[in-house]
Amino acid sequence: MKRVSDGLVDRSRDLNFSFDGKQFAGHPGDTLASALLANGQTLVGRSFKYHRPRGIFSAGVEEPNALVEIGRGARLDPNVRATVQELYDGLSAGSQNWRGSLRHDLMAVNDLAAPLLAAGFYYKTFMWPKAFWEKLYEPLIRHSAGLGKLSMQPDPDAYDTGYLFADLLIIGTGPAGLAAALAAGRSGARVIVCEEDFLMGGRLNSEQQHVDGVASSTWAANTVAELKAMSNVRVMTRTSVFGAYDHGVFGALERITDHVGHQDQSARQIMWRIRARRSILAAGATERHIAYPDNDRPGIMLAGAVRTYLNRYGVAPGEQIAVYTNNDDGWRTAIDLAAANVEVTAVIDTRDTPPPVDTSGLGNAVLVRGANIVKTTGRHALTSVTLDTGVTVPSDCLAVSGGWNPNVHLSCHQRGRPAWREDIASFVPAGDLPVGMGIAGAANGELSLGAALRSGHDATAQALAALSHGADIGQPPQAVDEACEITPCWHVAHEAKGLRKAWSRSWVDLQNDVTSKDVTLSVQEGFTAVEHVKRYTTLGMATDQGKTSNVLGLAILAEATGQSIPDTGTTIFRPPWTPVPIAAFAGASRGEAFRPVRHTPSHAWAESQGATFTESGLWLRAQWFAKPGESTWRETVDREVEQTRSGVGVCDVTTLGKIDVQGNDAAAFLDRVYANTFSTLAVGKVRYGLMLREDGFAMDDGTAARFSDTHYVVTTTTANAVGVFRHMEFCRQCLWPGMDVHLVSTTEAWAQFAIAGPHSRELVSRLVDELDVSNEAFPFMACAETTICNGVPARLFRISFSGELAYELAVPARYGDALMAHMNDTGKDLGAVPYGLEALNVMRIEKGHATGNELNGQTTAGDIGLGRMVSQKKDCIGNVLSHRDGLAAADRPRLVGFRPVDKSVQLRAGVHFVSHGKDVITENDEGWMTSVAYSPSLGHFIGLGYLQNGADRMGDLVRACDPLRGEEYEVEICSPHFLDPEGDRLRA
Amino acid sequence: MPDHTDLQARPALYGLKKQYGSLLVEEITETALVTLAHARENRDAVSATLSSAIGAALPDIGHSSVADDGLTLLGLQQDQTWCVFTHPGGSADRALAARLGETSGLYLTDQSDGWCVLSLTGDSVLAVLERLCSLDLHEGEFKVGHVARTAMEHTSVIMLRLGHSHFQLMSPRSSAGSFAHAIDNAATHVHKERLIE
Repeated sequence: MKRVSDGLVDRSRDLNFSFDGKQFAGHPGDTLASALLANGQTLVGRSFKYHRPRGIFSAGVEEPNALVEIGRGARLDPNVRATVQELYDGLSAGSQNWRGSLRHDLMAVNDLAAPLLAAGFYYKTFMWPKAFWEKLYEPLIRHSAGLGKLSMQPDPDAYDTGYLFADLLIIGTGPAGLAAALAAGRSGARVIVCEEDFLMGGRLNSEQQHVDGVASSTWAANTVAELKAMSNVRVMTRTSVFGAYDHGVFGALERITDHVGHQDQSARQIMWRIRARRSILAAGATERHIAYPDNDRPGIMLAGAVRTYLNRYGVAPGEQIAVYTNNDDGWRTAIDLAAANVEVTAVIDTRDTPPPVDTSGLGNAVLVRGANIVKTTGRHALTSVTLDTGVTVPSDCLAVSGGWNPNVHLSCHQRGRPAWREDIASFVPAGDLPVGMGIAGAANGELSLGAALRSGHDATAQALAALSHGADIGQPPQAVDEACEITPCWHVAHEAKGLRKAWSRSWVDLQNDVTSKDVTLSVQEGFTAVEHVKRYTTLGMATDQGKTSNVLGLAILAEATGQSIPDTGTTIFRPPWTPVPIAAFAGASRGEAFRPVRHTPSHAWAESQGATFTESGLWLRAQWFAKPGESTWRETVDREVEQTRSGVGVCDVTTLGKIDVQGNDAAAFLDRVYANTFSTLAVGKVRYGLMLREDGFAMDDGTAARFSDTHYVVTTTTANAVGVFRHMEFCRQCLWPGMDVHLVSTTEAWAQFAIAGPHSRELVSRLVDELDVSNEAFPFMACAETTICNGVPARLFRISFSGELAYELAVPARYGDALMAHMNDTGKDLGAVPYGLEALNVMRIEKGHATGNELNGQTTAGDIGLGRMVSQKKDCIGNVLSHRDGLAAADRPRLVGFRPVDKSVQLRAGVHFVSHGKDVITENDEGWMTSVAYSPSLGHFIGLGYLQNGADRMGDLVRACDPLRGEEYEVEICSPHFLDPEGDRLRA
Repeated sequence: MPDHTDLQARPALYGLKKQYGSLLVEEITETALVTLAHARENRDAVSATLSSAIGAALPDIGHSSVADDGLTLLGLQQDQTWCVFTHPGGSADRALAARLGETSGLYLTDQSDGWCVLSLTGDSVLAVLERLCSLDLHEGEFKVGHVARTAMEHTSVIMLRLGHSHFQLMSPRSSAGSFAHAIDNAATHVHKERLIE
C-alpha cells in the first residue's frame, strides 16, 4: 500500500496520529481510514461475534468493520467509523472488541465454535437452568457483548441545539446535490445545503470523470466556492441530516470540533432542527457486496471505496488488487487502478457478457466472465482468491461490487415504502414521501453522472415551481452517461463438503456477523417476514444499520422463501440515518442547566444567611436558616417556629401565584371560577377562595384581594400557579369570551413576604410610610395599596397562614432582597427571624391549613371541611358535579387531626388508618395521613389526614399502620386546628 | 413611624453587560413594562385614545408601534398590548395612566419587575439566537419592529427586533439567571467556533 498520488489531500503538511499506541503520519484531507491504509495498516478491528479479523471495507458512513475508539479518559468515544473520522494532529485512535491484542485476540475462540453460535443460539441456549440467567448468563453475555467500551464517565463536552429555516434544503452534495444547489442558489431562494463529509462533492471527488469539461472534483470545488459566495445559501459541511420528521422538519447533526479535537468554550456538536418548505434528497447510493465464502477478510473492500482511496486520497489499498463485480461499475475500479499503475491481478465478472470498458490498459490482469469466488485465504490480510473455475489469483486486496443501493432512508421516515426497480436491482424512493421532498440523483436510482446532474437540476426546478419562485435557473451541468448495467448476483453457493462445510460462511452483515446461513436458518425456524428475520439474526442492526447488507440479506431471504424481492419488502427505515449522541439531543440542557431555576427575590440574601434551599417546582426556596451551633434541621425549624410565634418571623412567599384580574366583569368572572362569592367582597378586603375542577373535586385554594370595583389580585398555591392561570385563561377565552375581564400573571413582579407573629404589627408599622395598621384601621382580611420605606410602592394584606397576627407585604421584585434584609435588621429588637418553608409548613399544620398534600385531586371541598364554601346562591365551575352521590357521600374521608397516644412517637405521612381488631389489609383501610410535623408549640408530633367519617369520630383512637416500615402506633382523632382554634391570635 | 430608609433596587442580573467578540449582551434596567388591556370591542376607541395621547396606535399582533418619545407598543395578543418605555422609578402603571389621561375601559398592570430585559447587539446575534430560538429570524420574515412571544431553553421570552443585528429579549425575572446562562453558553460557543479552522 502506498500513496500513488496527491489526490485531494494536502501532502505538504504532516499530521501525526496514533493507532493502538503506534505512531503514524497522515495529511490534511485524510480520514483515519485513508491514513491507516496509506501506512499499510490493513487489520483494524475484530468482528462482533466471531472476533474475526477485519479491515476497512468502505470509504464512508456505511462502514461496518473499521469501528475504532477515539480519544482518552472521559472523552473516549467508541465505535467511531474510521472512514469518516477526519485526521488531525495528535489524534489518538485504538481498535476495539478484542482481549489480548488486535492480532492475537483470545476471543477468536468463538470462531472455532462457529457451528454452535448460529443465529438464535442465545435464545435457545440460555433458557435453563432458570437461576443461571441473572447470576451467570447475563453477566457473561454482557461482558462479551458490544463493540467499543464507554468511558463510564460523564461526557465532559458541550453540545448545542438550534433551529434553521430554508425555502429549500438540499441533503447531500454529490453530483445531483451540487447541481440542485447551484440552480437553487442562483435562483435567489433561501437554501441550506448539508453535507456529512468534510469535503463537498461526494463521488465527484472519487471518480476520474468530467463535468462541463473539467475534472469532476475541480467542478465540485468551483461549484462549492460559488455557493459559499452566495448570501442566500448556507453551506454546511460535517453535517448529517439524520431524520425527516413531520411538517418539513429535519434533524441534522453538525460536528464542530470532531476534526480538531476538544476545544474549550466550544460546542462539540450541534443538533439542528431544520424547517424547510421544500427539500431535495440527494444522498447518493451505497455500494453493496456479494455473499461468497470467507468474504470478510481484511483487504476485501467495496470497489467504489477502492476508487475513493485511489482518486481522492491518493492511496492504493493493495499492491495486487482483484476486482469482483456483477455490474459495469466494478470495471471502472480496474481501469482507474491500472491508470494509476497499480497491478490489477484479475477482473471477475459474474456475468458472462463482454466487458463494458476498453480493457487494453489492464495489462496482465486475468479477465474472467461468468465466474464466482468460492474461497479466499489470509488470516490477517487477504492473500488470494479462488474462483469456481479452480483458478487461484494472488491478491492482497479484492474490490467487490454487488451493485448500488440508493440511499432511500430519509424518504421513508414518514413511513414511505420504497419500490423495487428491476433494471438497477435496487429499491428507490416511492409512496408517501416526507411533505415537500423531492429525490435526485443516485438516491433516486439515477446511477450515471450525466443523469444525476440533470436530476438534481430538475428537482430544484420542481421545488422552485412549487414555491412559486419563478427565477431562471439555466441549464444543468453536462457530463456523459457512463455504463451502469447490472445482473444481480447475491450470493455464491457453498462448495465446501463434510466438516469444513460447518465452518464455511458467507457474510451478509459484517457488523453483526450475520451470514447467509443465518438468514436461511431463520426461514427454517419459521421467521420468514423480513422484520422477524432482522430480529432473529440481528441483520441490519447496530451503528451501520445494515447499509451494505440489508438488500443483500432480503434478497437471500426472498430466495429462501420463494418470494420476489419486492414482495419480501424492506424493514422500516427510522431515524437516525447515522448515529447521533444522546448528548447532542440534550444540547445545553444538562446538569444545572437541565431546566431553568427560579430564584425568589430574596434568594441572594438567604444565601448570604446560609439558608438551605429546597426545590419547589422550578423554584428554589429557603427551607430553613440554620444558626451556628444548631446541629439538626429540626433544631433550626423548631427555633424558627418558636421565635415566630413569640416574636416575629419573615418568610419569602413570592412563589405563591399572583394573578391580576381586571375588567368590568372581574367580579362576575371570579364568582364563576371560585366556589365561593367574590362579587360581594368590599374594596380593601381579602377573602379566602376555593376553586373546583369541572368534575367537582377541589382544584386549588388561595385568596382574592379587591383593590377597586374592577381590580382583584388573586393568589394560588405555588404548585398550581401555572395551572390555575391556564385554567382561568381557558375560562376567559373559551367559556366566556364576551366577558370584559383580563388576566395578567404578576407572580414575578411582586416580591411578597409573610410577616407573622405577635410583633408583626410593630414591624410593619416601622415599614409603612403613612398607612394606619392598627387593628381598627387595618383589621384581619384587610388589604391596601400603599408605600413603604420612603416611597417604595407596596401592597399590604392582613392575612395569616401561620395562625398568628400576620401580614403579607408585597413590593416590586427589584426591592425584594433589600426589603428582606431591612426587615430582619429593623426588627432585630422585636426578635425578627427569617423562617423557611419547613417552619411555614409546621405552622400551617398546627393551624390545620390544607396544601398540596391535602389537595391531591381526589378530595372535595367537603373532605377538607370547606363544604359550606361552595355557594348555593350562584353557579360556578364544578358546582353541579360536586353534588354527585360519590362526592357528597356522608362516609367520605374527612380531614381531621391526629396526635399520638404515646407522645414520644414520631408520626409519618403516608401511614394508613385501620380500626382496632382488623387486619392491616387494603379492605380495612379507613384513610391516610397526609402531613405530619413536630409541633414545638405542643411538644409532640401532630398530623393531618383523611379518615372515613372522621369529623364524627373525635376522640376515638385508631391504629396508624406503616407496613412499609413495619411500624404501627395508636393515634387520637382530633380537630385539625391544633393551635388557637378560635383564631384569637390572628385577629388580635 | 416610618423608617424612611430607602431600599436599594436590584436589577435581575445585577446590570449584566458582557461582550462576546462583536456581540454585546446588556441588561436594560430602567425599562418599564405595562400591560394595557381592554375589551375587544373597544379596540378602535383605545387605539384612537393612544394615538392622540402618545402618538402611537395599537399595533397588530406580532407588530409594534413606536411613539415620538420612543414608547413602544407590542402587539402580543387580541385584547392586551404591552407598553415599553423608559421609567426609572416604580408604579409605571400609574405613570402611564397619568400620561394617557383618559383611561376608562383600559386596564393597566405594571409588569416591570416581572421581566428582565436584555439587549443583544452585534453581527453574531443571529448565530447566537438560532441556537436558542425556534422562530425564523430571517430579516424577510421577522422584520425590524416585529415582536413575538416564544420560548427559549424552556423559558418564556418576548422578543422585539430593533435593528438588523439588534434584539431586545424579555424573560421572567425569577429565571433570568438561567436564561442569561443559556445566552452566555450560546454566545461563548459561537464566538469560539468562529475561531476554529
